[in-house]
Amino acid sequence: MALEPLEHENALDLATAAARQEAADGAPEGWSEVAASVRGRLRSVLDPAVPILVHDARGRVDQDGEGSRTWVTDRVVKAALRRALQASPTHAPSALRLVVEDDRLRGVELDLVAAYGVELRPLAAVVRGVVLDELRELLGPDPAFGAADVAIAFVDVVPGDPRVV
Amino acid sequence: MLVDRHGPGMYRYALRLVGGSDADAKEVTQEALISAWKGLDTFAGRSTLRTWLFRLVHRRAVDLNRHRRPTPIDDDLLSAMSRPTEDNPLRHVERVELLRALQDALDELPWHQRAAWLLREIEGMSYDEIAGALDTTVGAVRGHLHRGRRTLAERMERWR
Repeated sequence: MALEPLEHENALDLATAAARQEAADGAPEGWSEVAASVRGRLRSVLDPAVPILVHDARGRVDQDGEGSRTWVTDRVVKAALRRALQASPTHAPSALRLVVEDDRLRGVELDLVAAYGVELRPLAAVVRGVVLDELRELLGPDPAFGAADVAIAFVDVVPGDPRVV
Repeated sequence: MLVDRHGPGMYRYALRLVGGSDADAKEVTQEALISAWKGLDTFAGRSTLRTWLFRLVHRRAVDLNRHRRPTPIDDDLLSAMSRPTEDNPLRHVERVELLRALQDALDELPWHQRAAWLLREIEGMSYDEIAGALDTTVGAVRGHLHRGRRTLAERMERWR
């Protein structure tokens, strides 16, 4: 970056431009050391992923006559649900918990923030449907899992789009 | 992805925010990233991921600032951040000195003015995003920026 002669420029403008250029040049020196340290710590604090059994089209966990089974981890399910729950300006997820027992999904506990003015009871029904559709897509139709297993709590109501407010 | 995509910006922000110590900036950035990773499930999606991450950096930096005594400014901090890429060595020296003067001026600003200025001028955030990152209102952000810019301009004039 070429600095202009100072007599024609405001010193703060010049310094700001230099700092922006420095930021555009890439990661600050020392970052690679910080990144390595963070990755090391993340490996030590990560909770192990929880496997959840997938059901076939007929609701069985055995995928074939030989008893093959398929699992999807809770991280995948949570990420998919979080995406699905941010598709509308009427609500946004605040917290999301999965209850898994014996490798089977037993419940979804969802804290939501709703937009001011939206009827909460119908919204809960819509959200419950979105959750069930997403779970069916990922885990197949589990005959033991239904709408009653999706618990929704509205924890806040905000004016405007709760995804960005 | 979280670390690679957002980490460098968070670290850069932390470096300038804590001013005096790259060790502090590393600690702040590490704690913020670990905290972000653990809290991803509770990320509400009510702000952008980037805004949320910068808010975590800010909170960690505030915590650190509360619990630490002031430390002398490390004169090598900004020169270490600046790579000697200028063709003209005099230009490089001038740039290093300019950035050092900017950091000195930033270090004299009140905390929120410094943070608001960095997020606006260096990270390019909108007023809404800055308000989210600092847990304050857009009106307060405008005030911090106005006062911060005025003070910085006055202090940078000394550098001439």
